[in-house]
Amino acid sequence: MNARIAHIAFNTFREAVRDRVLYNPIAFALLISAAAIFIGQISIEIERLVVINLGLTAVSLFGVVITIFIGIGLVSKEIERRTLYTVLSRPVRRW
Amino acid sequence: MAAIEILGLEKTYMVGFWHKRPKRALHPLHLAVQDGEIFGFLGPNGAGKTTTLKMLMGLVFPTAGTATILGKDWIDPEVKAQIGFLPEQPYFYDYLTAHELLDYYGQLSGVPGRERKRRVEQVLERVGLTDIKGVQLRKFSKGMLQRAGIAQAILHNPRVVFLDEPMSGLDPLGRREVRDLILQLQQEGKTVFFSTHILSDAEALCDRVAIINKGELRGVGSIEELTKSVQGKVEVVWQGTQVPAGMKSLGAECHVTGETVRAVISESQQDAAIDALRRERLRLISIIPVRTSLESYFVEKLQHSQTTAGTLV
Repeated sequence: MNARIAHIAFNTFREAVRDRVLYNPIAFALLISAAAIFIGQISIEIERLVVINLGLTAVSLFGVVITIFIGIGLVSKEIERRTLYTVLSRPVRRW
Repeated sequence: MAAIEILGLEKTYMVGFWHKRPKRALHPLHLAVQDGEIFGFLGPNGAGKTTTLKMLMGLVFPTAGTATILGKDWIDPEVKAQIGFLPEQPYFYDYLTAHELLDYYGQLSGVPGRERKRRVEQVLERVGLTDIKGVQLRKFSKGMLQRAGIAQAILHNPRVVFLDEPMSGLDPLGRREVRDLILQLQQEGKTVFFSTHILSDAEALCDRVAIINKGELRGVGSIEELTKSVQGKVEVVWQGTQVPAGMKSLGAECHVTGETVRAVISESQQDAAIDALRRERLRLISIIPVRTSLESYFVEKLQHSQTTAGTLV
């Protein structure tokens, strides 16, 4: 059964990666990290600190955003598009 | 042995926002499908065909009743490994290719690795999907998706195959191929249960059919059994402008158009009509069934149910 969960997880991951909408938050995260360098330059003495802080903020913030957005879409999309039917009609337990 | 046994499955939905009223989608249904049979499940749109199939697949929970597939409880995961299902208007993961999709379904159905690769190629060829390597499913046409759907239903070599409207979205050639495929599946010893509203498909394929309307079963049996009571009509066309006396005595209404005459008579009078034409040495052009006998039966059953419903109101 665990193998099946792994297969489903891999498929979900593959879908998410190929669905290019998700590249937007990643691009944003990169943008903010890059901005950190400039903002760091105008700060006095604490350049390193600003870069680290903004970089880490971008990672955690957009990590949460991506998780939430994929999470919201995941089940509802499967139900809406009826892709769930072909999965649930196979030997997969629901819980 | 009965491959599928439906024991009083029924479904009632609650409709309405404030005042919830029960709406019956399916009255208690009792049905048995024998092993190795092609069974057609017929009914007009909205009759409850898809609801029944969804319940059998465990996608919708029945209000009451139970079913067995291959002698086991129908929601047992072990049973699911031995059945294939094609949903109505199948729709799959947009960003996968057909190979990846089938590989995924193969994994879920527990087909071992090396075998899976071989099977995927084999089924794709079987449903007529070639030259699609690397093409994502969102670029597929409706007919191609339908074929991919059929491929995933038979991928893991199931013993019972459920097909919901397998011919929809296919061109005439495609329909023919699917028909042949269903017959092949039967030859391999599989049981096929398919729903359709296209009667000619059912007539060409099914060992037995069930007719359902407004959630109620109207008749079950082989096509011959069901259509014994009704006979279809045939249209006879012959050359000339004269109507032979023998034809008139059959009570046929004849219409003369240009150089041909057409008459609609019942199937049983067909031979008498041919004799009448031959006696007069008239050239017969065609005899075409106006309506197949299954269709007549179907229409009769549906009209019957409408009139009874009408009297209740």
